[in-house]
Amino acid sequence: MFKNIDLKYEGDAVQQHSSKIIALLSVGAVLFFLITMLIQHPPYEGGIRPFVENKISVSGVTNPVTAVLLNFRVYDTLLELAVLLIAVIAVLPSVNSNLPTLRILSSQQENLVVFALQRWISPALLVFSGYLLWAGASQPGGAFQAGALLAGGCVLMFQTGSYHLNYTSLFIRIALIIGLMVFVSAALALFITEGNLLQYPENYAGVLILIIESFATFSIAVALAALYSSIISTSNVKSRGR
Amino acid sequence: MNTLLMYSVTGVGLFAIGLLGLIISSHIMRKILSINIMGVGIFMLLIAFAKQNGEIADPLPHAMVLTGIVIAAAGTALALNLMVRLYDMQQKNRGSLDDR
Amino acid sequence: MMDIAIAFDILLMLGCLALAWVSIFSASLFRCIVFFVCFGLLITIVWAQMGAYDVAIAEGAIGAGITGALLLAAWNRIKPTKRQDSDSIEERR
Repeated sequence: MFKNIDLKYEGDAVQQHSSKIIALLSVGAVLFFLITMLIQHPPYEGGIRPFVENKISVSGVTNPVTAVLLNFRVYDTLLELAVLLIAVIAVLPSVNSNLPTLRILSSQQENLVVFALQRWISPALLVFSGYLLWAGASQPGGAFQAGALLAGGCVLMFQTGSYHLNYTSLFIRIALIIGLMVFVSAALALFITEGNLLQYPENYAGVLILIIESFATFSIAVALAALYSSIISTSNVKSRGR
Repeated sequence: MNTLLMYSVTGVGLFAIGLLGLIISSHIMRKILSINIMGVGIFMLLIAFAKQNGEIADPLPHAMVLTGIVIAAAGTALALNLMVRLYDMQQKNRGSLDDR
Repeated sequence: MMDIAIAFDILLMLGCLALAWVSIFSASLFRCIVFFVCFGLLITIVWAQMGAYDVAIAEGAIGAGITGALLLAAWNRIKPTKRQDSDSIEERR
């Protein structure tokens, strides 16, 4: 059942083989086994919460999830930005085009509702994502949420069909890597001054977290928007010629 | 049986539904949807474990799930790009992809 | 025994399982994508119910929003257009 890769649109949902009974039975056995193990498992004790509660006053923020993401387990966040960048590099267009960075196509609007919604709601999205970034220090929020909201605003922008971003231009390339660059340069600068990679000094931990988070937000928003616009049809770009 | 144990069982159930869909489905996009559902099942298991000791939740699984959601979205985007590329090649050749 | 909170939780769980099932095994591909976006929104409520508010905001924005938009854009690329639909039906017969 792994042999034929199928892209038939009107095909069946499920392959018509007799081996699907075997698959159903084996997945049922796996499910039964997992549920038995889950019920017999002793309740999860400990965890990182006592350590976080002890040390949260030196971390620079008040929200424990932001403290864990950007102070105690900060390497994971740095490598996550790198993985996101690798995924974007894999889907970027392979041919450099000389179009300007942002092109506003003045095609006739076939969908006035989306166009009006995008123009009215974009300022509110910008302000709200800035608020989420700022409030991540003490309330639920943070860099990823703000970046995802900005990316949603960019998706809305592309849905109107009257904007086109050139992802091989210099500005967008810098925007994609600046989150990771600020992170790595902060790590190196802290290595030189403090002796450990990404060891925040206690007075400046909050400010440093906010700076790193701002650039990371911008990078995450551009990366998610690049992932989206690599899939939408590029028929209007191809007709311009290279 | 408290609600957190029921949420853990739901997470495992979601994982099993995703696994069944991954093995059985024929279209590639259904397989991508199944992988996403498997991921959400694992996240539900992690967060149910995080809440088991006390009212204030353990923040480490929250951070891991946050990272996981972003990486899952990036992986889905890459998989969908590959699927679209496969479709374009298939349209060009007008044949199937088995070795014949 | 059936507190209203427990009933709400059980309804959420059953809804998640049912939506996951129809999101994979539906007949039409467009319906699968729509059910997947609904599944993402229900999961956002589940995260909020379990006290994970940061994860709920991120799941609502990325899991339901960005992934839903990606899936719909990919569906738009692979669905048969009207011209080629009649050609491929002629070829398959």
